[in-house]
Amino acid sequence: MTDDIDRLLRTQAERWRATVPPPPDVTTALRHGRSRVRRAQVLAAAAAVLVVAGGLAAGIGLLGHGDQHGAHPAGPRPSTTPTSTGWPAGAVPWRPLAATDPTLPSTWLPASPDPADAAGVRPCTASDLRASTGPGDGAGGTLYRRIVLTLIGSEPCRLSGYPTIEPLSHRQRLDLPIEHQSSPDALFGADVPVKVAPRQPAAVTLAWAVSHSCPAADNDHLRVTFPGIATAYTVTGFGMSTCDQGEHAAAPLLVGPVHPLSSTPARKTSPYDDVTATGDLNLTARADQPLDFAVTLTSKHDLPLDPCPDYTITTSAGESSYALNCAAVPHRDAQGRPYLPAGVPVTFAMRADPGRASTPKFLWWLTTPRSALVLVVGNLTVTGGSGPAEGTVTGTVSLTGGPAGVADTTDVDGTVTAARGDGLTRTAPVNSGTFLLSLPPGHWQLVVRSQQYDGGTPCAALAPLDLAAGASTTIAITCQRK
Amino acid sequence: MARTGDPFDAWVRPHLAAMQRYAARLTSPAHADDVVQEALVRAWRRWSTYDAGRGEPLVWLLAIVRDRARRVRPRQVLTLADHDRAVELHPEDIDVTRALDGLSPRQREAVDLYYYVDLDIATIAELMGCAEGTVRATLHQARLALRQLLEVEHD
Repeated sequence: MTDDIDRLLRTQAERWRATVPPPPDVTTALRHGRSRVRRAQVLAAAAAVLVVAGGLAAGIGLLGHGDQHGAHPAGPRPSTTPTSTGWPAGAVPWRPLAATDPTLPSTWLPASPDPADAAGVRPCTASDLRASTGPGDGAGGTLYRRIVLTLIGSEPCRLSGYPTIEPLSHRQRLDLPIEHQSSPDALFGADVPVKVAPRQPAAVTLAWAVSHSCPAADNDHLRVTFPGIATAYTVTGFGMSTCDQGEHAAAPLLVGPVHPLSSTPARKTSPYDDVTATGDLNLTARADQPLDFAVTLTSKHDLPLDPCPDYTITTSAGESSYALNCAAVPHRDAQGRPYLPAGVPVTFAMRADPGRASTPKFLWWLTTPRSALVLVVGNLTVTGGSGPAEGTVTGTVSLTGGPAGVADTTDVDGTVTAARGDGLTRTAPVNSGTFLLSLPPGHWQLVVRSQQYDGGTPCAALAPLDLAAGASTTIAITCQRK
Repeated sequence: MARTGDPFDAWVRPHLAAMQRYAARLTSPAHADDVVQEALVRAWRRWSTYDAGRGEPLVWLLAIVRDRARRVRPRQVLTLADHDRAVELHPEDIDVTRALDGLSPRQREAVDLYYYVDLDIATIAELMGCAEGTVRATLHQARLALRQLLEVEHD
């Protein structure tokens, strides 16, 4: 359904990447780097300073925002006592099974055409090929030209490598730097032998930042010579170049290798590509009641659920990941494994914490090897709930201590996770040493994780935070380096 | 300072292209150099705090790029007022650029990282601080949103 959007984005992104200048040299960057003294934003109002010792949080099964798999699912823990009739008869029972992050089977489909097709094919000569320029396009001041090589006769021939390009202006050669490019897709293509055959033309892609090349020049033609072919072809050039104020250099002419005009890159595929998920997730729930619903999986082919996949549910309360209850699936294959029979819908009972806020992004999805999703999307309306208003916690994080000569760090990036005794957790990013959490009232334990602190070891607050309904408080967390 | 053959140089070099693309995406191609330079300085100074056993260096470096990019200048948004560039732009590119601005910040970030910076899902998940499934779902939602936005553009 969104494959065309996917292709559109990939195509435009390739064009955009060609406009990005190469990165600076590391040595030069460090020599010219400026020193800035950064101080994290200091929050006004009283703050409780918590001096933190290094080490893991005790007694709290907390995981960072990116750690969804472990002994406990990250997120609220609904009761296992059924409270509603949201599960259809015959559904695979719901169990809060910990996600296991299994490695699901997948394979790579080779690129098409296969470069091996060119093996043994005779080399092309000048009389084999007709060169023409395809329609050009551009982005961000760079124009693209595609030279299409069409076979004149019927006997295929082989061509490979980078052509020699002479940019011309009124028959005089323009002094432009030439740079070879390649890409895994058809923008520039890969430098592999190409079989040119009837209805299978080859191509060469050229690109020039025509709006950023000085001095201005009129590139009316390009003289192109292909490897192994003595005769040169002359095709239409890029036209008049311009440049912005402050630009002085001639932009290089980017040249790709000979590649198939039409090609499909290698891609990953898995048995889950043919699985669809359906379910009615346009639901209404109470804020203080578990939400029961069902999802039905249907596979076009027999699909063993071994290893058993994980799935994730997202509501305004956050996201929770679990392992599918594969052991309770009523179908077994010849090897005794639970499986989805081809074309047979299998319904799974699901339960989630609906959170306190309605959301149009009530999501359920299966974790599969490909970017294509086995996904159900719904609109969740949350009503009622007798709980009090949430409060806010604004805080700072800094790192102190460690070996002599290591300065305190106030510009900390990472995550902060707050956990309440009933299993409710909330996570927020820490950016430049500051964070903002929105929490229901209660007794909260805060844990910070940052790559800057012992490579991501949790930095646990010793003293919990008591938050009243609707209250706002500030906190400064200091992580003591070992 | 790092020299050719210096460990820091060798360590960061494989990730320079991604850092440059990310910086260009957060600001513009013209400002990417400044952002990456500052990010390299910062990374070099904090290199001793990085633990290879705890996470990928690319994610660590990109987080620094993101932080530096916030301080340089905001993303340059293509508008039709950029008439010189618009003449050379593929019409499709103009529509897509404008549609991307209609995405939520999270969707925009996921699209930038996946398509433009060309990162894999696992790296994006670590950088965005969420599960891989969340990244996939966000991308899916973004593509759906872009479809709607682009259809509206062509009405």
